[in-house]
Formats: sequence, C-alpha cells, structure tokens
Amino acid sequence: MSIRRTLVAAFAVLLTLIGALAAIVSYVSARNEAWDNLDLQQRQIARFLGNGENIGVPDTTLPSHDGDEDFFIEIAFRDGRPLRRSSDALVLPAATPQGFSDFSDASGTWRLYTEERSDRFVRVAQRTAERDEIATDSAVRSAVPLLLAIPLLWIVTYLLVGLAMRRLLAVADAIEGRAAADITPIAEADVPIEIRPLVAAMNRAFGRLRDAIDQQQAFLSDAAHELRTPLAAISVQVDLLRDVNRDAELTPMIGALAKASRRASVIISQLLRLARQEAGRSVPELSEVALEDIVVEAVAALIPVAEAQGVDIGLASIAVAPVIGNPQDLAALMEVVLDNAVRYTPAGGTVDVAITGDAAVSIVTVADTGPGIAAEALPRVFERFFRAAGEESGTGLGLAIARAIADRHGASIMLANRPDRSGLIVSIRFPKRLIRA
Amino acid sequence: MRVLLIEDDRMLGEGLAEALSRHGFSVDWTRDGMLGEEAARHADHAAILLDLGLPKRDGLDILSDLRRSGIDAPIIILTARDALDDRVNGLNLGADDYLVKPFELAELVARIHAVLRRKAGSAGSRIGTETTSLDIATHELRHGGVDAILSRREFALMRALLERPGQVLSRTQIEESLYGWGEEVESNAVDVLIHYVRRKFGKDVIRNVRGAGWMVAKGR
Repeated sequence: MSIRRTLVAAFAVLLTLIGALAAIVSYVSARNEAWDNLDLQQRQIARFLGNGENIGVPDTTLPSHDGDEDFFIEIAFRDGRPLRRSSDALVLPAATPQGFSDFSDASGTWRLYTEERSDRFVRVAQRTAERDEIATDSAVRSAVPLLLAIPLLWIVTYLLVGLAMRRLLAVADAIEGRAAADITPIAEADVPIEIRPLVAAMNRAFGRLRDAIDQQQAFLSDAAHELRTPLAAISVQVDLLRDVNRDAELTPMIGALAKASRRASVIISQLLRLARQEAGRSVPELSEVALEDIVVEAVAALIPVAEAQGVDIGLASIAVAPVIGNPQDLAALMEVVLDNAVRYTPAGGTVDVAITGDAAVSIVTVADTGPGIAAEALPRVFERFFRAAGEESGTGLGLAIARAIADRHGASIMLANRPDRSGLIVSIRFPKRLIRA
Repeated sequence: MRVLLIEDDRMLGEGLAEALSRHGFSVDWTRDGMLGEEAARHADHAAILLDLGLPKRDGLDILSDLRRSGIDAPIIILTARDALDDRVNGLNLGADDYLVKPFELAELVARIHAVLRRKAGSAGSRIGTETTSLDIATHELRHGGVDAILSRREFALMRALLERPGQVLSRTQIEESLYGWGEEVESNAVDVLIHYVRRKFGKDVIRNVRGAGWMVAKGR
C-alpha cells in the first residue's frame, strides 16, 4: 500500500474517531446544559411569582393555552384550595416535596418544581417530553457542525498528504527521467530530508554498480587492445604469405585467412567502440552539431562501397538539423546504420536517406530495399552479438553500438520492415530538448 | 631506404621487418624503447615507426624526446589505442601519421611513402588523396594513372573538391567556388564541367552523391 494511502486512511480514521467523540461529548453536555437551563427557568418563575398576590393579571385574562408548550403554574393553599392556576387541564398531585420532582398522569410525564411558602405552595410544571425536545434540539445543534466537519477534514488531509508527497514524486520523476545508462549519483541536497537515507543508499548502490561496470569496461578494453597487436602480426604474416605464394592451390586459403583476420579486427574495433559508448564517460564535450553534414559525409564515405556493390545510395531530402552531441559518436552511429543498409541491399537496390525535422525533433530515416528483418528477430536486433538467421558478414555489434550512442544522445532508434516487406526502414529521432549536457 | 621500427611484439616486429624489406626498405628493428631512442639519435633514418605500448619507456615520451632533441625524421605511430584523444595527442607531440593496429601492410607502405614525399617537399604543392591529387602550381591532376593539365574552371572545381576529400559539395557551393559575385552562372555549368573532367579521368574521379552533391572519395 502506498504511503499516501496509508497516511490518508490513518488520518481519516483518526479524525473520524476524534470528530465522533467530540460530537458525542458535545451532544451530551449540550443536552444536560439545556436541561439545567429549563430547571433554572422553572425555579425562577416560581420564585418570581412569590405568594401569588398583587399580580396584575386577572386569572380570567390568562391566555388560553395549548398545554404542550407552556409551563403549568399553580398557586394553592396548603389545604389544596387553588388561589391561582394557569390552566384547568392539569391536576397536580396533592402534596409534593420542596424542589424538583417528577410525576405522571394520563397525558404523560411532567417535571415539577415546588416552592413552599408559609401558607401556600407555588408549583411550576413542564412536560418532560417538551423539555426533551428542547434539550435534544440544542444538543443536535451543537453536535451537527462537528459531524459535518469530518468529511471536510478527510478532503483536507488528502490534499495535504498529496502536497507533501509531491516532493517525493518529484524525486521519483527525476530518477525516472534519466537516460538508461545514467548511474551518476542523485543530488542529495535537493531531496526531502526524510528520504535522504534512501537516496544515499541508492547512490552507494549506483557507485558499486559503476565500479563493477568500470572494471568490466576496463577489462574489455584491455583485452581488445591486447588482441590488436597479435592480430596485426597475423595480418602482416598473411600479407607476406600472399607475396611469397607461388602455389595457386593455396591462394583461396590465404584469401580466407585474410578475410577472417580482417573480420576479427572489425569485431575488436567495434567491441572497443561499444565499451567506450557503454562506459558513458570519456565523453568529449558536447556541442551543437549540424547533423545533416554528418549524415551527408557518412553517405559520401560509403559511396565507393555502394558502387562496388551496385547499390544506389543517396539523399531523398535534407533539412537543417542542429542537435547537441558529439560529432565523432554521431558519425559512428550513422556509419553503422548506413553500412548495414548497404550491406544487406542486393545489387540494383536503393538506399534512401532522409533528414527531416521541426522545432521539436530531428529525424534521420534510412530506407533500403533489402530483405528486411524477420518479425521474430526484430526485438533482438539491438542485443550484442545477435545476428539474424543466415547472416554471416556482420559482427553483431553494430546496432548495439548505434543504440548505445543514441541512448547517450537521448535519441531513439527504431527498425521497421516496410509494410510490403520490400525493405527495412531505420529511423533515428533526436528530440531537441532531452539531451543531457 | 632505411627505416627504424620500434616494436616490442616479436611476432609483429619480425613480420613487419620482413615485409618492409620486401618493399625495398632496410629495417632496423628494436624491441626496446631506450634502445630505440638511442638508435634514432645515432643513425640517420628516413622514417621511424613507433609503437606506443613499449616496456621501459612509453612511446609518447620517446616521441616528444626525439622531437625536442631535433630529430626530424617522419614518425608514424603504430598503436592499439584508437581513442580520438590518443590520436590527437600523438599528432600534437610531433608524429606525422597515426596508424591503428591491426592494419593492412599495403596501407602502412602507402603511409610511409606519403610521409616521405611530404618530407621531401614534393607534396608541397599537391592536395588530394593517394588516388586523386592536384598540383596547385601546375594545375595538373593525377588520377587512375592519368596526368593532365586542367582548364581554369576545371581546376577551380577540382581544387574545391580536393581541399577536403570525402566532403560533399552541393551545386550551390560549387558554383560559389567557380564564379565571383554577380557573375552570370549558367544552369548546367557544373554538370558540363564535371562531364569534361570525367571524360579525361574516368567516371569515378568525381562521385555523385544523390540528393546532396559531388565529392572526391577519401583515399583508403
């Protein structure tokens, strides 16, 4: 469960409990207070009436009353003879004690206050149901706002937790937005203090990973360098062999040997190139590069090869395409892609290169008329040493290099067969913003 | 012609010494950086082939020492290191060329001849590549075994193309290098000129880059 949900749920339960408790307490206390107030009123009335004499209202003019609402007031002599009473609807019990008491009659329960004087009683009665209604009204009025506040608090909690979480999400977004191979440390200063230990642990893990990668790269690079000198020796010896050979039977074997040694050198060079790209460091400074110039130059460099193979390579369209990057790396990327296109296009075929772009993106498309790539092989073409079935001339490293370079430039590279299977289309997209400086 | 080979790998050194002597060089081969430096100081070599990864003394140190002590024989670095920085570093320290292992023997021989020519000054007025070169002074173009003097416009065209072999020039760029400001340019002038040059030297002297322009191929 997410921290956000946990927090919101915990706060919601807590606030609901507190709110409900507060509502109950305030209900009970408001009810008691109302009850006390009504008692106070009853007693005040009784005291105010005194012994009932000299009250300027004749009993005949008392308003006829509806017994539900009002107090029932009676002033009577000790022998029970009434001096004055507010209504004839109620008959009070004969003798009642001084102070508050309850009694019942056919119409319900009453609350009665008895004030004892020298020769008479002043008594004030009120229906218990009436008092209950007043007390409950008052209690509800004080409890309802508290109950209404509870859902409001849920919303506020949700928003506040969201606000706090947004800082975490910002960190997550920053990590999410990194280039695939980026394992540089995350700046701890920009991170909320609570998750700094987590970020620090991640940075340490990044560091260990970087060390491991560095070691692997160093080993790969050393191994490739070590292999180059013996390979040079083989190549020189093969050349010598070709020079001294007078035996026609040996010629094809020497040719095969030369070819194999050339292939081994290409693999070594590409391994080194890949190691350098994947290491992601020793990046010569990035600058604004005219991608179209690099593409045209890469096309030009392949023209002798393409001509020898009977392939027509050319530019279908050129646009101005400034990108931020490293010119050598971008040239290597184009070389890999164009070399593949020419290599797999049969004689008489065409390789069309197009540079297009707008304010947001520059796109280089390379479309050939080769056999394309089997659908099941497409997802694997960027893997190191992967070669499609029946393919023997390549090293299996070219597209891995291309992808590594594209990744480091924040570019994406995509391979797709033409819908009618009449060739392969490679497109490389350079977003103009997303480039790591 | 005497060349000095400083290379610690026995198999490569032997092979190179043998192969170069077959190409008419007399080779002094040493496997040791210190000895190599001594040899360079005391004998007069036409060219020095220097490996960078040597025991005892690093090749780049030897290079800068040799240059500092006034030895001006052309030096070609032979190395397994191919990073751009290494290359720039080597050339900055005074190497004349830089060849990454493994290399083709023919390429090494061509590079030795090239640095020797440049040293002799015969390359002074020539621009271009191994296969296609232009003499700036005499307006003579050499390509595919043909030598011929170019007309003024043909010369301007080839000079523009040969200043940076492998670079593609668009029609507009070529027109700009052929004509001055305000000069009338006929729409097919460039095509006509290219046609003339190709008629003399063969079709591949100027390569057409469809959609982009023309170039002279970079020598291999």
